[in-house]
Amino acid sequence: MHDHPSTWHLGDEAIYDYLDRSLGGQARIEAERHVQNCPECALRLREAQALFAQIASMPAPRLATDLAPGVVASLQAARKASVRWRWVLAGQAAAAIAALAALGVYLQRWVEQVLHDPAFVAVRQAGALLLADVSGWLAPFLDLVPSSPMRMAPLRLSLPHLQGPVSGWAALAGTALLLGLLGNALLLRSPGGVVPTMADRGNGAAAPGR
Amino acid sequence: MNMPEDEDGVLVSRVRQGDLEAYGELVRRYQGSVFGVCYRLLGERQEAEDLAQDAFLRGYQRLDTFDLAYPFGPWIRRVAANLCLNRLQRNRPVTFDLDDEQGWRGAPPGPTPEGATERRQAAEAVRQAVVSLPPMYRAVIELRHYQEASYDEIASTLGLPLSDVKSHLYRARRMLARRLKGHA
Repeated sequence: MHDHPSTWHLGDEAIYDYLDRSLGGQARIEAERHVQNCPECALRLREAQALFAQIASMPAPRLATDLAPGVVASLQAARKASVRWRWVLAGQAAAAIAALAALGVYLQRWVEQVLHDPAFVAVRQAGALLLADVSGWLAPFLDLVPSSPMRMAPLRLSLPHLQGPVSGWAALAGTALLLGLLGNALLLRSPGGVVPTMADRGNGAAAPGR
Repeated sequence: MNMPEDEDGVLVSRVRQGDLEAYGELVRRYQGSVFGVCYRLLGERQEAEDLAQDAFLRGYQRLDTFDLAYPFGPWIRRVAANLCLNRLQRNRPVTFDLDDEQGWRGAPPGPTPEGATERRQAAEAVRQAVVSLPPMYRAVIELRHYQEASYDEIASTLGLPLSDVKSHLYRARRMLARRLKGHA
C-alpha cells in the first residue's frame, strides 16, 4: 500500500479479499483508508459489492420430495446385507479351516505311508549305498580315509504307489479352491457392507418413499 | 435453549450408536440446502435429487470422520459439492434445465407486478450466468457465496492449493461480472 492514493489503486483481487473478509489486520485498515480517499477504487468496490449482491440474489431451489425415507431405507437394506454377508464370510472361513485341517491329516497319513512303502525304502537304501560309494571315491582325493574297493550297488528306482492318497489330497485341495472361489465370487457380487449409491443403482432407480 | 448444531451433535451420536431414524432426521433438516447445492451445481432437477441422496449416503459412510465440534450442515453440503464436482468433471457438460421454473422458489415479489417480473428476470440471469461457468469455478462460487466457506475450507473441500482457490474465485467473479453487466 502507498500513501498517495492517486498513484495506485486496489487490485480486483484485493477488493474481493476485502469483501470476503480475508484481508486482515493492517492491510484491511489501509484498504479502507484508501477507498475513502480514492473515488475510482470506491466505485470499483461498489461494483464488486453489487456483483456479490447479485450472486446472493439467486433464489434457492425447492425440493419437492422428502429424501429421508429413501436414504433410511437404503441404509437399512445395506445394514441387513452387511450382516448377511458377514455370516457368509464366517462360513467361508470356517469351511476353509476345516478343509485345511482335513488336508493336514491326509498329508500326514500320506507321508507315513510313503515312508513305509517298500519302494521308497529301496530307494532310500540305494541312495545310502550310492552315498557310501561316492564318499569312498572321494576319500583318496581328500586324503581322509584309506582307499576302498569300488562298490556300485545296482540302483533300481521305482516310484512309490501314491495313487490313493494323492487323489484324496487333490480332491481336498480342489474343494478348498472351489470354496474359496465361490465365496469370493459371492462376496464380490454382494454389497459387502458398502452402502449402495444412486450411481451404483443408476439414475433411473426410484428410491423408496418417492 | 439448545442450538440446532447441538441437536445435530446429539443426532450424530445416536446415528453412531446405530439409530438410523436419527440419520433420517438429519436428512430432513438439511435436504433442502443439500439439494440446493446440487441443483446450483448440476442444473438438472432429477440428477440433483439423486446426487443429494447420494451425498447423504456418502455422509453416513463417512460419519466417523465428522467432528462433533463443527456443525453438520456445512459438512454435509461440502460432501454434496464434492460429489457434484466429481460428477461434473466425469460427465457431460452441464446444460441447465431452462424450463424448470417451478423448481425455484422465485424471487420475492416486488411491490408491483412489473417489479416482480424484473426481479425474476434478474434472478434468472444470475442463475444462467452461474451455471454457464466451468465446473471448478461454479464450485468455488457455490462454496464461497452460498455456503460461506472460507478460502481455507474451500481449498480443503476441493483439494486445491489456496492460491488456486483465490485465482479460481477471481476469474469466476470476473466472468460473472461480464455476463451480468446490464442486469444489475
